[in-house]
Amino acid sequence: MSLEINNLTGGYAHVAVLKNVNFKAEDGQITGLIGLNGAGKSTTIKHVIGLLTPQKGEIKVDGKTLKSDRDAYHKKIAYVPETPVLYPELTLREHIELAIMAYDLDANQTMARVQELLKKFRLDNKLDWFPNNFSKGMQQKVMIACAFMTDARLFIIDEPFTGLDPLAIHDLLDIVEAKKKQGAAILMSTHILATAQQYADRFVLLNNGQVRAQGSLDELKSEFHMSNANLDDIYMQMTREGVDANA
Amino acid sequence: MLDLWKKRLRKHQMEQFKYLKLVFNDHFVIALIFLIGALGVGYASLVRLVAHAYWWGPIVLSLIYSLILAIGRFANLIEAADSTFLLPKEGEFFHYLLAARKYSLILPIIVIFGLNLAILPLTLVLVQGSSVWTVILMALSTLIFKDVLLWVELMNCYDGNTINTNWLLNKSFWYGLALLSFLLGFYVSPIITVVLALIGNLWLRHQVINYVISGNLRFSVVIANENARQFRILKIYNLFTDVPSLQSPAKRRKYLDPFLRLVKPNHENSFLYLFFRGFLRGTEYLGFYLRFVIIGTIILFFIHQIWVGTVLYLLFLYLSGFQLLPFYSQYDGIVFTKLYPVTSKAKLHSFQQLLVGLMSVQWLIMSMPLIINFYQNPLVWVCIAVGLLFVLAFVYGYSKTRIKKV
Repeated sequence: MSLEINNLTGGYAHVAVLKNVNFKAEDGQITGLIGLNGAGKSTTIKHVIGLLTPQKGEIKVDGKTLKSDRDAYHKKIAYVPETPVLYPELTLREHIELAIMAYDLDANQTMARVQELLKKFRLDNKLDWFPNNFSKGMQQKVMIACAFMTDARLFIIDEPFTGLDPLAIHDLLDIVEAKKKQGAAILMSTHILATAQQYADRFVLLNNGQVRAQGSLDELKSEFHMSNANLDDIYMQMTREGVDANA
Repeated sequence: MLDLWKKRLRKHQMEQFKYLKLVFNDHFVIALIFLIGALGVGYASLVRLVAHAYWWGPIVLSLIYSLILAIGRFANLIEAADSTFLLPKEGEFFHYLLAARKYSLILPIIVIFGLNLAILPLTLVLVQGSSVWTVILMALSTLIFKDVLLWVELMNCYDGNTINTNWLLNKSFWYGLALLSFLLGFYVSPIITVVLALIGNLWLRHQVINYVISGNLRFSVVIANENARQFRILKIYNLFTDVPSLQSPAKRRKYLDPFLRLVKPNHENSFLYLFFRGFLRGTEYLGFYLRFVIIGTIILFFIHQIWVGTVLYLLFLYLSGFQLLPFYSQYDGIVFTKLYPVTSKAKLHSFQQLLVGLMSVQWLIMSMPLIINFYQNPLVWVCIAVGLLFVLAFVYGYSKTRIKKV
């Protein structure tokens, strides 16, 4: 069990954005974190990677919590943020080298692995450039390459499909698929429901900071009593419920 | 439209004020006072050196006046969004631009007045038969020409068609004319300069309305020019402080790469790897450090009392160490700095290694002038030893507590 979130309540300062969130991301599966803008997807992710501290509840990655062993916890996580963030003074090669050093990875082995990723993204001839000057899509590819070259047990990708061209989306999904086969857990937040439906094994539907439903598509269908529905229909149904409840 | 201009101007001035406060910080003001003093002394001895008029005097002065003419641009504060949101108001933009032009005159007036005052003694020496009136008339002509140039810039915001000869709206033409009339003024009579400037000015003013009415506002050109102008100003501010809207781009500086090899790439050194590269390729901290080292070393050369020298020596070591401390949190805004499985102890250790390296180099360089000036005095070796102890105490004692406070 790579990621386990138990009774998580948290948010910014004293505002609780998340209320009693429970879900798991299983090994060898892609878990889609689905929700409207402001539903709490990014806040959940920030708690998992440790940028925010839970007010209540706990988060375990491979049985470890942030409190018990911070560095071991971080070693198990790889993260691709929604907007790329890069060191302005480092070249692409140096970004990779720094990550290798920081995660204490085997230099030769990782370099070979990352070369493959870069080739896929057509970045292998830009190793000595400053990625900070790349276009947004290319920066996103750098972030993906740097995350997926690690041996993390849990890969967290925040809104992976924004800014990437269709070819890159396919390449990313291939890479994710490969990591999944190796037994890693993948947590992916997204709005692009059609793609999510196609690739994710399980879904966690967030609404107003709470988990409204979770499970495979079939499980969701039966929960919402919509036997012929796709993820889009279920999602719309959920938002309608939210409006009705507020009305 | 005039309200819009006033609002923009207020916002612009607030921003300038904010930055100027940062530019004229204590360190810089002290350096500036020294600089002005040194320049004044140099200028005075130059005037004494010239002593009498030369045939090339007017040429030099005319060139100086032409340079003065180049100071201050048309500041219109137009923003990129205007071309979308204010497109229907294009006609009224003329009034906005008139107000902007008037505002743009203020800085040149001040500069022209000040520089003419400064140039007065040189003119009196260098130009035969010149008097205070020569300078007054020249200053007046410069002002009139500046007015012309600002009209030209305003007219260039439009693509009117009443003036068919392109070069009349080219600033180079007016600079040429100004240079010519300055030469005539110095060689023959300054009255000529004033008259020429006035003719040009009145002729152009006469054309403005028709020209503007006949054309459209060239939004994209105006916006591009204004952005470039603001960028130039911000770039200057950026030398002194961090301008958020202006990401000081990192420079590759490949020639510094041999230094980078000094860091062994292993897990413990992760942050040293990052810090060292960031320091050498960034524009901010390296600049400050070099300035302290160079200025400090030069000043120490001119100090001939050992105790004053020692105090300054320690002061410069302290200042450059102190201004490096915020670099510790330079990368905290980048998520990964927080996610790397590297202990904060290792991060602090890396930072201290960088600090001790930089300060030791500075210590080594700044000890040179002390040794050269005071090699006969055995006390100098004590000073240098104190300097090294100071560096070690700063890095391994003081910096640790400072960083924890931040």
